[in-house]
Amino acid sequence: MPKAEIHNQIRKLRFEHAEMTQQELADRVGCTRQTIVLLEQERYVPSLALAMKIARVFGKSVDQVFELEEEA
Amino acid sequence: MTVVLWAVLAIAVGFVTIVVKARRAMPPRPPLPPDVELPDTPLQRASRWSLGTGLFLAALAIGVVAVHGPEGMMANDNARLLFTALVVAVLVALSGPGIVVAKLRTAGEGATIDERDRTILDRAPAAQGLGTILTLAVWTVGLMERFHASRAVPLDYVFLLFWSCLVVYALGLPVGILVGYRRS
Repeated sequence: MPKAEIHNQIRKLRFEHAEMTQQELADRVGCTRQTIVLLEQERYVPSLALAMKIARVFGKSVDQVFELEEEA
Repeated sequence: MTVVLWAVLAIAVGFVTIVVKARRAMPPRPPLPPDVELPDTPLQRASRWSLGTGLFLAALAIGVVAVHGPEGMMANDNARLLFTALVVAVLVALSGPGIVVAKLRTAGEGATIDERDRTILDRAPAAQGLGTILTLAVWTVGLMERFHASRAVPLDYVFLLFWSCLVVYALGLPVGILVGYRRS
């Protein structure tokens, strides 16, 4: 089975949205700031529900925020 | 004095077992870049507070046994009550009022726990059972060697055995949570 990695645009999108802080994003999606830090560092893969909430905050679809990269 | 060392050894074996088992229960997280600082979560802070307070009170309880000896402690009402009160305080501290409060608060605006915290909480008790069993095993070996000739274990020692196993069991939750945050 090919190894898959999930990349995201959260950090970039935060800055594009009036330099939203990590804490602000965490409060809006109902998670801790630690989770946001780990998401931005791509050390944590969120549940579908959290991914959808994050995408909704930025007014994007999930695949515009998260990208699946498959290695052969 | 030997019994105090044995109690410390039994609790230490349980503690180490819990740490090792909890580490194995969580897959390791790739390290973060050195410039990235990871803020503590409310649950992590509550667990650290619980563990610190619990260990401090446990040390005081062991101190009471060291001063009076198991037989002396059981014969002295004040010492026995002080020991029992300290161990109950250890259990209360380790079960973590903060953890319970954090657990009860649901995710949402100003959430104290989220999906990652819940995963860590779910996996944290993984090591409690094994840690307790090994503590019991250390006590059993010690008591067997000490009292096998008389074929009877004094009640004072059974009292210590029970409380130390309970303390190790309670240690498992905050230790499991803190190890979980380091690993996941």
